Amino acid sequence: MKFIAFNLMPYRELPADFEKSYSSVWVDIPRRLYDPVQGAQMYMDYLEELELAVDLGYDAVGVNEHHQNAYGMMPSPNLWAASLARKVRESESTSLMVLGNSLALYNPPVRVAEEFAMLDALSGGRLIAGFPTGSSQDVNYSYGINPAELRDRYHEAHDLIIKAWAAKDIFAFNGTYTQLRYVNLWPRLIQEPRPPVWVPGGGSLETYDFALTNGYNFSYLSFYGYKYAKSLMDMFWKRADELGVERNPFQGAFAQFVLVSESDEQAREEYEEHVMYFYRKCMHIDPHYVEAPGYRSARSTKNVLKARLEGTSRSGRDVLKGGFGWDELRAAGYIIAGSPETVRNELEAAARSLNVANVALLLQVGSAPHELTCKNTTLFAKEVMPALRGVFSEFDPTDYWPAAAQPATQ
Amino acid sequence: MSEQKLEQIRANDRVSFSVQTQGSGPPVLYLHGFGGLACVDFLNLLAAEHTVYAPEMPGVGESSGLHDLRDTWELVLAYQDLLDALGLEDVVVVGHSVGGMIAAELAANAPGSVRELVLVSPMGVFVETAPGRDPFALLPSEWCLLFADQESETAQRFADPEGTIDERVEILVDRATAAEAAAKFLFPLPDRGLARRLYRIRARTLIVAGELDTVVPVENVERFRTGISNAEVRAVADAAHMLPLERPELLAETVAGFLAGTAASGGERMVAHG
Repeated sequence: MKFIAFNLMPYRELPADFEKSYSSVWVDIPRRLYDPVQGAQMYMDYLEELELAVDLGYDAVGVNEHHQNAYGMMPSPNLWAASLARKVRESESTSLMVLGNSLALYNPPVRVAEEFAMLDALSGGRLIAGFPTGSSQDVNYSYGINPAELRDRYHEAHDLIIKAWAAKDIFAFNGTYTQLRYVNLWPRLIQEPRPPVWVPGGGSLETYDFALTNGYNFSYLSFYGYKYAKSLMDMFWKRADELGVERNPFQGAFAQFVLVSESDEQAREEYEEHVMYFYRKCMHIDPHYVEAPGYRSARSTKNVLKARLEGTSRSGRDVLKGGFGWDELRAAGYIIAGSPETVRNELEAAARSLNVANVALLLQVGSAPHELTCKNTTLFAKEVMPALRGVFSEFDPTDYWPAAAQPATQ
Repeated sequence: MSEQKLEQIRANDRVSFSVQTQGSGPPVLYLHGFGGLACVDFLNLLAAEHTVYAPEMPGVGESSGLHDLRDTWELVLAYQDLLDALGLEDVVVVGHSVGGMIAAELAANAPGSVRELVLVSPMGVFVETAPGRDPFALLPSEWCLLFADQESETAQRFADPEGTIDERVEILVDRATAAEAAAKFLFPLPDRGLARRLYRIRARTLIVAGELDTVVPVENVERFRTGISNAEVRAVADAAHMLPLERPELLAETVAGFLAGTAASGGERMVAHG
């Protein structure tokens, strides 16, 4: 297995009455709730937490992109990746995962190709390039991208980036959304013709096919844990069978809150308050901004509506609408929490049930203070990671991980 | 109720329109807005004295080509091609909501092709100081907010259609794809520069606006009125954005009066503008 230390970088000081007095954590959250001095301290803490993960030998440190969002204060993932890049390069085998740049937001999209090439250089050829479409809240409502054009813009940007990375000569690009007479990337990638590409997505068949036919990793990144991810990953692997692609667990990834302490009881004592902060406040998401018209294809809209009206599916958010607490969140797999042994067993079972070898570990949760996150990051690295390293070792991660970051023993 | 004919008409290589035709008399082109052609009563009343041609917008119902249209310019040309295909010249155009924007664009683009223009709750201009409600952030269950009387049967059924699950899914998916089509030309703000082109409109123009419309605030209506050289405004009390559905009789009467040259009749009251 491969372990990626992720940090959503939430704002930790939302008011006690936040979910009652304000409509949303995203898009239109009042600016006055952000204290610049406290915010700056949080940035420093989160940077140190990711640097610690590099020191502890995680396979990657991961950053992502959100806008106008109090649970993800990372509008520029590339800035954050640049801050980590030197430390990554000097490490034994850690990669730099940007998961990623929401392609339609970069104008012209060669900006992504250039900055990723710089990050690849700074990290010593250890970049993993993530190409998300982005959430509707981010791309449509915060950045104003037309939802009817989003998928088209995404695919055009993708084609341009891949071509720009691999090109031997200057070329002209006449797209619908981008027109460039001279595409000519300086610098070039260390990992030519492209770094490993990861595509975060939900349950759309289009995304499965895109990842499978291009040899990209498909990452299901939700905050609802491995049990919720099961049906989606099952569909992904079924699609892989249909397309004749090997079920290589390194072609998938899932996100998981993982909270380790000395015992199960102590884990609850230490993390419960911060877990509740996350699910009550950070997941206080205004439904008005979840899906601009056209964000989802008509086919997906139909499937979702039908399942909702028939009551055969509940979204992760629906589950949270009911009463929930520590026990429910653990039982539903939203969080894996407890002693090292508990976490080892459950995480291995989770990975095997999904047939997924890469886990995007959410080691910082909600309002968890710096010391606690450092403790969690350390305990996981020392007490959990070594025992699970060998899981799925019969499969080859080469297509999905940078060669420069492979330990010599593999 | 007049007899309806449904035809598929190819406007050009990219766009094929589904066109509903009914009534007899001088031609009127009706360009729908939110809610599509669900305003059956209004169309029937309009068809009493006119031949009403009601195309669905590309991406709505059986009209295709939305994703092949790059911009508003190509959308307007598709409608121009449709007028040519229908053999309509110098025609009356009535447009509601996003259809109002398209109607105004048509009249600005080819002033000779539009004889008279009726803009009902028209989208297409945006005033920063009066942004109004974002129609694209409404949940389906909130579509009743587009009506003045949100408790009315019409408003309630619009937000929560009746039928079997499959029927409701079909209606809601149609509504979602129609919203996507509108969003293509109105998101994130309903401004593709129409205000800069309004001066080209020569047609005698009536703007009908619900006083309770939160999507098209009165400041936008005023921008249309001052931008078009020969425009008058009819403000309707107790109406919001969905005039063709919520006030079909009044709207039909107002349009008929305007077309007959007796614009003062039919409306509830005339708003004086300096």
